[in-house]
Amino acid sequence: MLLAMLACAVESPELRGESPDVILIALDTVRWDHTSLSDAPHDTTPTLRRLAALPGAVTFTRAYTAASWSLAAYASLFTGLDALTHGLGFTQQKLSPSQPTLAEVFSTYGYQTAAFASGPHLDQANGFSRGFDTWRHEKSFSPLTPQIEPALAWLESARQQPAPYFLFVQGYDAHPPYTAPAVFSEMFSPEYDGDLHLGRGQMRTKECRVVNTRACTPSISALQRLRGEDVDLTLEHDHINTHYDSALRAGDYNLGRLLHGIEQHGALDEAIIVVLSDHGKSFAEGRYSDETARSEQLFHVPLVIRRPSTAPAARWDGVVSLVDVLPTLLDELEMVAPAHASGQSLRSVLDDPTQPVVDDRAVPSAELCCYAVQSEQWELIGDRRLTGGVWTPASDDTPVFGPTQWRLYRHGSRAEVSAEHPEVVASLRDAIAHWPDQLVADPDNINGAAGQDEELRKSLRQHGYWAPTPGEATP
Amino acid sequence: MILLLLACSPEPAFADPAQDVLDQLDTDGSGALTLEELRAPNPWRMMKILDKDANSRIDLDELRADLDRWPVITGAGMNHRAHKAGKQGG
Repeated sequence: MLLAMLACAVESPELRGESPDVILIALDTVRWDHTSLSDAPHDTTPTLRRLAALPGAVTFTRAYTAASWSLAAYASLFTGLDALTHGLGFTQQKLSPSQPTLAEVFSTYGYQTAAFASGPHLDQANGFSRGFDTWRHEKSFSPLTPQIEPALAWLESARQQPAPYFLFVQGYDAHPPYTAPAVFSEMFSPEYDGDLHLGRGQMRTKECRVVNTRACTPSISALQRLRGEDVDLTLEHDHINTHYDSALRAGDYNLGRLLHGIEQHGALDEAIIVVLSDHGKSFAEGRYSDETARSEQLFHVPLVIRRPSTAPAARWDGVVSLVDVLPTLLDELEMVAPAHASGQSLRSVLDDPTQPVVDDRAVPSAELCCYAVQSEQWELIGDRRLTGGVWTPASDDTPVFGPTQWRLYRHGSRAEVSAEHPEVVASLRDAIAHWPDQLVADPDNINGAAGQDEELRKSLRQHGYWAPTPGEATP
Repeated sequence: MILLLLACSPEPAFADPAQDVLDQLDTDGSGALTLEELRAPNPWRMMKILDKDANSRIDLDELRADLDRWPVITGAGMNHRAHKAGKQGG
């Protein structure tokens, strides 16, 4: 028995070389409150829960993305810059060469680098392939499925080389067009008996068969446009959210395939593994969701960082941002971070996740028309108003968003208190004082469609992105 | 020695994910999915596509073959409640 106990003692993981390998996995469009890391009603992400329970893992329970859509969000993840600083999706058409990316830094330090990604936003034309020796990209919004085997094959090859590696894998499993296998399609709501049919990027109703399909992106607001503001859509709202849960479960299955393969290759305890989502998702407006709920749905995302370690798994409740990922990884690997990075290293939290939360962060997130700044106690929300109403590219008018109207909420409260706490408003606005007052809304900037072909524009429009053709009004 | 090795073989952190899905849906614990366990609007069609050996049960290999396939096939056309229109088995 003693022999057995001695032989079975937990061993510290050993690195493959002098520097740890790094695996970054992005599950697109996963909001925190629907994952198994939160108190969600469905077990949507059992694999992610399992990763978070491994020794060496730290779950950041209040991680916010820098932007609500992939183009701007991945730019922030890759550069460590907040959304209006890198400007991609707002004022820039592609990543500026003066803003080094995570892959470029790894490459400079001799890492092998590879990306397996998809979608029209994470495109080479927008600068996202910079720094990757291997770049495998699907043009469509595809799930992880087609990336898993190539990524694992690359991993096996990279492990034969002495140099450390950085592997990035990304998929749109929980994003329209929801191409998950049917086993997942309604696994959490088999009892639903309404006439709303979801799947493969469409929301089909009797009405939808006779109106334009662009309105068929799953959303309560689209249904309200079809059926009227006064119709009770509670069942439909629940069904859309549950269908989203099924898509999350499908994505988690693919995450399981990936981590299963990583473990089989012996890489699980050699690499720093980061799993996150670039942004969340909101299906509801009006009476089904207020603006604080919507902000949480869009910006609050899962973030799990697992280091090769025997330290007990932990959760940390401080406010952090996905722009912290770059400085954290570079700090962990003792590399020099780009001087411009907006984020902060979370290495001290990884070293000691029992440390208390300090109320000294103000984390900004952006949509084109709205901003949110989170701190431990407060949330500041600002709307940018589109001046001029309807815009057509054929006209000489340029759509401009601004100025911003601010509202302040204490977390957990629906009461707007900006008048009572002007000093808090001023303090949180300092976090984005460097952002421009007005935004010029060029559709090519917003969608990363500059220099792209009409097929891409068509794909973006089909998925509800604003890529208007001449004569088309803005939503 | 063999016992010692067995005792010390670590459990994988991430076991077969297809088995996870099967376990989640296999409410009767039979090790395969029956029509009643398929949580889909049109389980008859799903069974027809996945049940390659036509034994009215979807076993682990049949399930995995569908889950890992790209592009997916069973997602298509599965969103219609055909049974409501009396098209059972369609």
